[in-house]
Amino acid sequence: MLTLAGWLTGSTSLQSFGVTGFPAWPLTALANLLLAMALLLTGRGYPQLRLPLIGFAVAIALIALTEAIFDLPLGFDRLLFAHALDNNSPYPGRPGLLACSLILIIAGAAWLLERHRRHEWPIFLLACVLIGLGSMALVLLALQGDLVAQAARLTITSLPIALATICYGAGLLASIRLWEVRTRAQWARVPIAMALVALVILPAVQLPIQIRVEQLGLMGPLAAQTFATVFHLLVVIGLIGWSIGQLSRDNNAISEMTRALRESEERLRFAIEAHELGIFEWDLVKGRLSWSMGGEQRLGLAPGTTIGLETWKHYIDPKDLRELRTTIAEAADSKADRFSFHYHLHLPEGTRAVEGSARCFYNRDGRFVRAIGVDLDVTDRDVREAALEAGRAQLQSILETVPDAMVIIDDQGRITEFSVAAEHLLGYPAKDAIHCDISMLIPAIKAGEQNSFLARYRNDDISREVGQSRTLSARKADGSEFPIELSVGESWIGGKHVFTGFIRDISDRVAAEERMEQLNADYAHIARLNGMGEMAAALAHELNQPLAATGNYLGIAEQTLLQTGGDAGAIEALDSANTQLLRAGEIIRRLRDFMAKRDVEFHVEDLEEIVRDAIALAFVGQVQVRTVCDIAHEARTIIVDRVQVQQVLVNVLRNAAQAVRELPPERRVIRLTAETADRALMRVTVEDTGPGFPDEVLANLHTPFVPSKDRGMGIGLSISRRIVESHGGALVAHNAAGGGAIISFTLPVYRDEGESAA
Amino acid sequence: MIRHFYIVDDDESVRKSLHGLVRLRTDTMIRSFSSADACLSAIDELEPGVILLDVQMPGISGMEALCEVVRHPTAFQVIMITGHANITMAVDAMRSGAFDFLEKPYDHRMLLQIIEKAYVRLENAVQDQAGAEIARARLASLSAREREVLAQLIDGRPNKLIAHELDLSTRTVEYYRANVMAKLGVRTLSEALRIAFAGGMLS
Repeated sequence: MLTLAGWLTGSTSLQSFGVTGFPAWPLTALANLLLAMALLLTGRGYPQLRLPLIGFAVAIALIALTEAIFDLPLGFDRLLFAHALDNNSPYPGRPGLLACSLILIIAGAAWLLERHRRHEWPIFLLACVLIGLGSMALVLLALQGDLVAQAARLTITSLPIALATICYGAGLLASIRLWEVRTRAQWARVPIAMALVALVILPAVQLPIQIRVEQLGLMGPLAAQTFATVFHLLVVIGLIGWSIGQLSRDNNAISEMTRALRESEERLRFAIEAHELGIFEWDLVKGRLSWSMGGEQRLGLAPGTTIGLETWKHYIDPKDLRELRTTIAEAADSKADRFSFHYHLHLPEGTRAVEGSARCFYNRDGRFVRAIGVDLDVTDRDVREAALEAGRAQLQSILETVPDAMVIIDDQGRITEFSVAAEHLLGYPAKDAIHCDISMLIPAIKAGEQNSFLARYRNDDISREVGQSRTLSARKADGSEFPIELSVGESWIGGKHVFTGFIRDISDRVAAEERMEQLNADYAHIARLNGMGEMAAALAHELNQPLAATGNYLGIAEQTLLQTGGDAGAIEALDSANTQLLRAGEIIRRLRDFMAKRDVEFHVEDLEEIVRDAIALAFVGQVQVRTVCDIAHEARTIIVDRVQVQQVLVNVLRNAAQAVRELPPERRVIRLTAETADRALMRVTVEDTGPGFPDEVLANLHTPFVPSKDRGMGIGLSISRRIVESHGGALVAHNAAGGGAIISFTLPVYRDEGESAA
Repeated sequence: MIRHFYIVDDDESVRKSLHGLVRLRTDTMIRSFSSADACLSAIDELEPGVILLDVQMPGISGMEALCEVVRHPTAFQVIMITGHANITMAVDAMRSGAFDFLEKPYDHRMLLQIIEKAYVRLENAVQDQAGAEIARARLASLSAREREVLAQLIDGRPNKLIAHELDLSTRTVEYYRANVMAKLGVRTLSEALRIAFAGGMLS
C-alpha cells in the first residue's frame, strides 16, 4: 500500500524505500496487496473470499512472466501509473521474474493455507523459500552497484517487495501449526524446521558476503570462495550436528514415550481384561458398531464372532432397546457428555447382562455422530445380586412365616430383626421392637446376664450353647409374662456377630405338663389307696379263711362238749375263743371298710376325656404302641368316679402295652372300643395283639395273689375288677380267637331321661 | 329222714372244719366239692339238700353257680358264704335265690341255726314240689276239652257262658265239669283251682 501510495504521490522514496533504481512496480505492489488481503481474510475466517484475490494476483504474475519469457511487450506493464514509470529499467512497470515467482509462491502458500490445513510441511517449505529469496534479494539490494548487473536482474527485486516477502514468509511460518507442540513426539520437528529455515537463509546471506569480500579485495576470489565454502560447510555441519543431536535426544524421548505409551496401553489392556471391559465404537453416521479386541468374547461369544449393529439389535432385549434409545435420545438432546446403560443380550449361549457408559461426540452442527464407550459383562454380578435379593426375600418370607417368633439381635443385645410371629406373640410391632434391648422381651436376660450370655458365645463356647434351648419367661407388650423356650443360633453377617433367637410359647405345654403332673399325682394317690385297699381285701380274704375254719373247729369242740356234758369251764373258754375270733373278723372287716370308704364320687363324665388321660398316663415310659379308639357316641357319657375308672383303664392299657412290647412296632396295636351294653350299662373292651393271658391268670382271675410273674396283672386286675364292681359293672378277661388278650368291663351310662343306674 | 348237705369251698381247712361241724348231727350226709365246677358237674345225681357255697373260688364263681343251682329242678337251699362281702353282693345273692348270706368268720351257732332253717324251708319246698307233681299228673289226665272247661272255670265263668264260648250245650259243659272234678279228685271248685295253681296252669 505504501508503495502504491508512493506511485500515487510520485514519491520515489516510497516507491523503492530509498533504494534507488529498484522500485516496486505498481502491478507487483498490487499483486502483493491482493495477496496480503487474501491472507488477512483467510486469517479472519473468510477463506472462500481469498480465491478471487489469489487468482487476480496469479494472473498478474503469469502475464508478466509470459511477457518476460516470450519477450512479448503486451503493454500490460503500463496499465497502472504509466506516466510515472521512467525508462531507467529495461522493462519499466513489468514485475520482475523474482517478484513474479514470489507472487506465485505466496499465492500457492495462501491457497494451501486453507486447502491443506493439516499439511503444514509444504507451507513451511514455501515459507522457507520465501524467506530465503527475500533475504537474498535484501542482501543484493544492500550490495547494489555493479554487482547487480552481474547477478542479473533475475535475482533481484525491490526493497519493499523483498521486505514484504520476508514478512510473508515469517507470517506463514508463524501461522502454520508446526510450532504447536502438543506432544513430545511433535517436539522433534521443531529443531528440524528451525535448521531448515537457517539452511534456506544461509546461502542467501553467505553469497552476498562472499561477493562483497571479493569486491573489497580482502581476499582473492578463490580464497573467498574457499572461505565461503568452508564457512558454509561448517555452518551446515554444525546445523546438521545440532539437528541430529536434537533428533537423537528426541528419539530417546520418543522411544521413551513409545515405551510409556506401550506400557500405558498394556495397563489399559490389562485393566480391560481384568475388568472384562469391552470397548466399542458406534459411528452413527455410518451406522457401524465395532468392538475392541475380545469385546465379543467378553459377552460370551465365540472368538471371531462379531456383532454388528444389526446383530446387536437382534440380540438385545426389546424392552432394553427401547429404554436405551430413550436414554440416547435424551443424551443427544441435552448434548450430554456421556450416557450410561444397562441391557440384556439374548445370545444363543444364554442371556448376558451388559452395563457400561459411553462418551458422546458431536459434529460442528451439534449432531450426535459418534459414541465410544466401555461395556462390562455384569451377568454374574446380576446373578449374585439376584441371589442376594432372593436371599433377602427368603429371609423376609422366613420372618413372615416362621411359626416360632424369630428375633435377631446383634452382639450388644439390640434387636435387628423381628418376625411377624414375634409381633403376634409378644405384641410389639416390629418397628417398635427393632433397636430395643432384648431384655425388654426376655427380662431374665438382664443386662449383666445378657452380656455374660453373649460373652459365652464369644468365648468359643459356641458348640456348647448353640442348638440348646432354654426355658425362660418372656414379657409381652401388655406386661404379662409367659413361659417360653428360647433356642439360639449364631452367625456372622457382614463381619458382625449376630444371634438368632427362636422363641416358642410353651404356655400350653407347661399347662399340659402341669395337668399331666396333676393327673399323675391323682392317679398315684388313688392307685396307692386302691393298692392298699386291695391288699386289705386280699388279707381279709386270706385271713378270713383260716378264721372261718378256726370258728368251725371251735364250734365242733363246743358242740361236742355240750353233747357229752363236758366241763363248763372248757365250754366257756371255747365260747370266749369264739368271741375273740369273731372280734378278729370284725377288726379285719373294719379295716377293709376303712380302706374301701374313700371319696368315691360319681359324676357325669366324658369317657373320651378319661380315655385320653388314661392313655397319656399309661404309656409314660412304655414302648411305642398304636392305640385305636372307637367310642360310640351313645356310650360316651358315663356316671363314674373319674379317677377310679381312670385307674382301671390305666391298669388295663398298661397290661396291654406290656403284652405287645415284644412285638415289632408296627404290630403293636391296642384297640379300645366303647359301645352300649344294655339300657343302664356301656361296655369298654380293650384288645391287644399280644400273646394273650396265660392260663393260670385266667384261672385265678379273682385271686389277688396269683400274679403272672412277668405281667404283674394280679393285683392290678383285681383292683380293676373291684372298682368296676363298685360301679355296678362287671369285668371279664379272656383271650381272643387270634391269641390277643381281651379285657372288657361295663360301666353305668348316663341317660338324659335320668334312668341311669349308678 | 336223712339230710343231705353239700359243702363247696376251695379252702381245704374250711371244708374240713365245716364237715366236722355239720357232722355233729348224725343224720346228715355230707359231700364236699373243692370248686363250683365240680359241684355243678355232679348236681344231676345229688339228692335235694342244703348247699354251703363259697363266693370266691377259682373257675365258676359262687354267684354264677348259685344261678345254676336255683334253676335246677332238684330242690336245693343255698347258703352263700364269703371271705369278704359287700352289700351289693349280698343283695345280688338274695335276689338270685340264695337262702342266706354269711360272711367269714361267722358264729358257728348262727351257721347251725341257719342250716336248721334251711332244712325247714327245704322240707316245704320238697312238699310243695311233691304236691305240684301230683297236681301236674292229675292235670295231665284231663282231656283237651276238659282242660278248656277248667280254664274257663278258672276265669270264673258260669256254665252258660262257658257253653256259649266253647260252642257247646250247657249240659255238655256240666258233663265235662263233673269229669274234671272227678279226675282231679276234688269236690269243690276252690279245690280244683288250687290243684290247677300247683300244677302250673296259672302262672
